[in-house]
Amino acid sequence: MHIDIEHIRRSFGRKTVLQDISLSVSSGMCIGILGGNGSGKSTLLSILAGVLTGDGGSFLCDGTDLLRTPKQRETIVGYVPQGTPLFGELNALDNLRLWYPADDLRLSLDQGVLAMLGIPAFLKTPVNKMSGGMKKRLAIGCAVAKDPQILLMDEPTSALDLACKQIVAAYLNEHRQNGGITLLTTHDTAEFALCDKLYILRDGVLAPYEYDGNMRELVDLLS
Amino acid sequence: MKSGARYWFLQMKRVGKILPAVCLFTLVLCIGIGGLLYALVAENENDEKNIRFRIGVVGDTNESYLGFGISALQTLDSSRHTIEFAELTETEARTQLKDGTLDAYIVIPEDFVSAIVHGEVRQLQYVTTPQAADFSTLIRDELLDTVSVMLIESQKGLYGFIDAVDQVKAADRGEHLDRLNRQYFSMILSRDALCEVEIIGTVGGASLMGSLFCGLAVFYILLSGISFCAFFIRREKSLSCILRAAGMPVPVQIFCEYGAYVCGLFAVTVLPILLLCCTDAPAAWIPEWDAEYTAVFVCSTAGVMLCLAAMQFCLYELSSGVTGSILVQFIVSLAMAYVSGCLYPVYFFPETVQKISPWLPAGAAQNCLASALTGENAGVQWLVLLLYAAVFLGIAVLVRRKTMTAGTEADG
Repeated sequence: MHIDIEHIRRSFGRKTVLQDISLSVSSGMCIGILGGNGSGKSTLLSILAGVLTGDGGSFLCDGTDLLRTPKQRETIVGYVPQGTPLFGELNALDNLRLWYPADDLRLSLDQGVLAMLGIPAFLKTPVNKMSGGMKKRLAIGCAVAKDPQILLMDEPTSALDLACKQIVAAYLNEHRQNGGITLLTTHDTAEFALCDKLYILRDGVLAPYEYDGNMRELVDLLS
Repeated sequence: MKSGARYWFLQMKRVGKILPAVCLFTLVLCIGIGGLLYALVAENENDEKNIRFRIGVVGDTNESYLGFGISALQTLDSSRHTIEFAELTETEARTQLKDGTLDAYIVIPEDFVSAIVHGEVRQLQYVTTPQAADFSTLIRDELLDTVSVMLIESQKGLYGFIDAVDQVKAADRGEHLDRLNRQYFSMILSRDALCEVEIIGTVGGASLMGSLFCGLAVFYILLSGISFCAFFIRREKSLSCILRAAGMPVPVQIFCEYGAYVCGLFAVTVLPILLLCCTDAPAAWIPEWDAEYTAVFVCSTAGVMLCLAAMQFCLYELSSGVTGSILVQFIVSLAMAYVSGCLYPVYFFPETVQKISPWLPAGAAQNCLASALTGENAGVQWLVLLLYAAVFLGIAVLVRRKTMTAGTEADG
């Protein structure tokens, strides 16, 4: 599988957030996108996920433009947004029922990705009583219900403790080993190790970046 | 649409979670509105007892004709519902007039009756206070009219009595005269038997109590929407974006949420109204209530609830935060109920408001319910309600889409 993101652009009023974003990713790769607050990282992922409409461009997957074939995109792409898109009053099981058919849910809880994410441990806990790590794991569990080949994750490990970060990292590694593609946005240098390539989004332009451990340089670039 | 069904089911679960708190709120609301309705009913029933003016009669009322005339006024004349006569001395009358227990008193000269019998007129003196002067003037005119009718018609009737008495034996004349007098006075004093008063009603042909009942039912549904604030405020907005990306369009989301909301609102509005309609209370308060039309009335209430629920749904989409949402719901509910005539009969308002009122959602809703009470055709009102429901839900869809875009923009 191979994806080509070509000439994605988006403006909000007079402000151009994304200008001509292009990117190619092969299967089994994890791409990290860095950028300061308001640089357009979430907008880019939203457009690729179909949540937002871009002003132009294409999102090709083996030649098929997923922006124009929503049915196919729904099965191929999984999106984990920055927030926690969950029903606060309901428990984890109810939230998962929105995304999983009954049989698939049982299977996944027993030996699938939900088991790997540790969700059975807090299945009956209401979301508004969960920790940030539990919510994020549950959000990931909901996003991967259709076993997507392309994962779009907006700051997946933000506000997570080390244990939770390790669980998420383990899942991403497995996804990558299975030939899946991951695009994630991050502020966390620890997540850089998960990524095969890094890009920096600045002034609406995406450029490759290599992190050599120089934090000051990175901060200057992001500011 | 399987995911739509699952989404609706989960929204129903959310409604179920907040239903205990909603029921508590609506119980308090029921008590408040029930108390208001009871007070209105009690006030309406007490009208005859309470609104009575007390007029003193000063003078020698032992004279048979005068005493009979006053007694006839108190028992036969239509003014008996509003005027109570009390036989007093002048000193007592002045004292009671000053302390407010008397509205006015009439002084009858000593030779009043004998003067009339001899064809002369003696003036009656009518004494009142400046405070009571205005409505007392109306009563004075009413009394003068009554007395004039009695005196004038009595003079004419004397000739008839002479003929009638000549045909009766001397021993029976007294009893015969009394009987004739009583019949004669009841004929004279039955001034209101010449016409039948029909009160057309205030809203949709319903009586005052009927229209108030319908208005309060509409007001109750409007206020009940406030109790579902948690259902709307706690909704995670990013979930809507994800669902849309996953193939559940915004109209489907809105429809599922609206459906769950309607189910909850039904449980706390239509069901209690149904229970109330199954008791004897409506029949006791509402003149035109017919138990056979209970099903029609309850179905109309359900239909009205659907439209008002759409309006509440739209308002929740437009507002944000707990305080803002509750304030918007409360102010719109109160203002609309007031202008639509749910709380006061609409004829109290200027003509412009009276023309607009039936076309507002609450006004059309009240008219629908009143038509269900009276059996009149409510086709136009139903059309108005359906249109409103469609417009409100359409606005909700547009606002949700805009909110999604704005939220994504803000995230960067």
